[in-house]
Amino acid sequence: MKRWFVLALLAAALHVAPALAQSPSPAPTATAKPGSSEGWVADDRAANMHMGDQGFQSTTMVTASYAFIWLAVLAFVASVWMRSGKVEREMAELAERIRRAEGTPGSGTGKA
Amino acid sequence: MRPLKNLSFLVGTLAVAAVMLVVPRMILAAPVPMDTNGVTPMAYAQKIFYFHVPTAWCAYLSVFFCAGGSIAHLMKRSRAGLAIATAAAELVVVFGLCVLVTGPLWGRMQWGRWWDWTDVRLVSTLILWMTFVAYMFVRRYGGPGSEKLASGLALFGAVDAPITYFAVFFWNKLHPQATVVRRGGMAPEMAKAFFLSLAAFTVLYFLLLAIRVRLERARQRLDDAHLAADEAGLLDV
Repeated sequence: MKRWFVLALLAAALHVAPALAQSPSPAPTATAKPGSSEGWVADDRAANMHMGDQGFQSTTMVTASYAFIWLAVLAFVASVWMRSGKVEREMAELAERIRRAEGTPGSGTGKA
Repeated sequence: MRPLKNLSFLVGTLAVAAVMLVVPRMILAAPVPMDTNGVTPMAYAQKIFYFHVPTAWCAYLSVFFCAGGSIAHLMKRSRAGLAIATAAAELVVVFGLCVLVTGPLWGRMQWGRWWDWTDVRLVSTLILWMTFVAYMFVRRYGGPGSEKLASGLALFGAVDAPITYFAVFFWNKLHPQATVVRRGGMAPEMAKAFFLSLAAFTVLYFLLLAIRVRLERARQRLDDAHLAADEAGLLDV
């Protein structure tokens, strides 16, 4: 149960990222240091805004790829969950059949 | 055993908290690359890098877990090895699919096209993914004894993985060379965000592997119980 909790929390946590990625940033949080970070520019969102369609398209690409990853992970978790339920049902069914068989005179050795 | 379980839970929860609070902000704060004219051709799409590379890392990790489990099964008939291999193969398919989807989304912005059949990295990644899809089909529909054939496929995949990784060094065409391992390949702010994201995905990978292995072990116990009950004649009633 704890593991499921951790997993669900993690999946929810990572969904925060694309949501934050779409919200306007109040102020630049990183600055390019002269000399040490040449060739890199702080992400102040202005770089996207003046680029018009290309900026919009790149944001869409980021959102699409991040959303796909989490859909894939959630689909995998859901699939494991359903298969676990099936295995548990089959185990319960087998236990029931064994119990019934052991209660029937002359059936098997009862070693299972 | 219980203190170890509690410790795992604590570590998992702390990792989740770190991911929730730090990773999104780190990715937002990380700088984007610009060319000599001060233009950012990739703009925001460059940030796909922060999850494209970690998902690729998880896929490679899974290939080697699958191969290790398969070797243990082939050499020692280890059922735990087989469970790990089966679980890891599924995760190669999941994370591999993420790589194959996020890569072209990035490529469309950088190269102007979704895919290039002449790029060895791209094609060998697709072959690697298809190998593990084949592994799953063999395990699902192969019938009794299919584990050995599937283990062979896993070993083939393990040979393909290094070829895929080193392809950009030998046959460099479109896909960028490794910027993560190259000194100065990333600005320090980018490196911080990237390695945090890498750690978060690695934690997620191990959680997914653990729940999938647990399912596979339960399935093995169910099969054993079925066989034992059948041999004891308990299922004839």
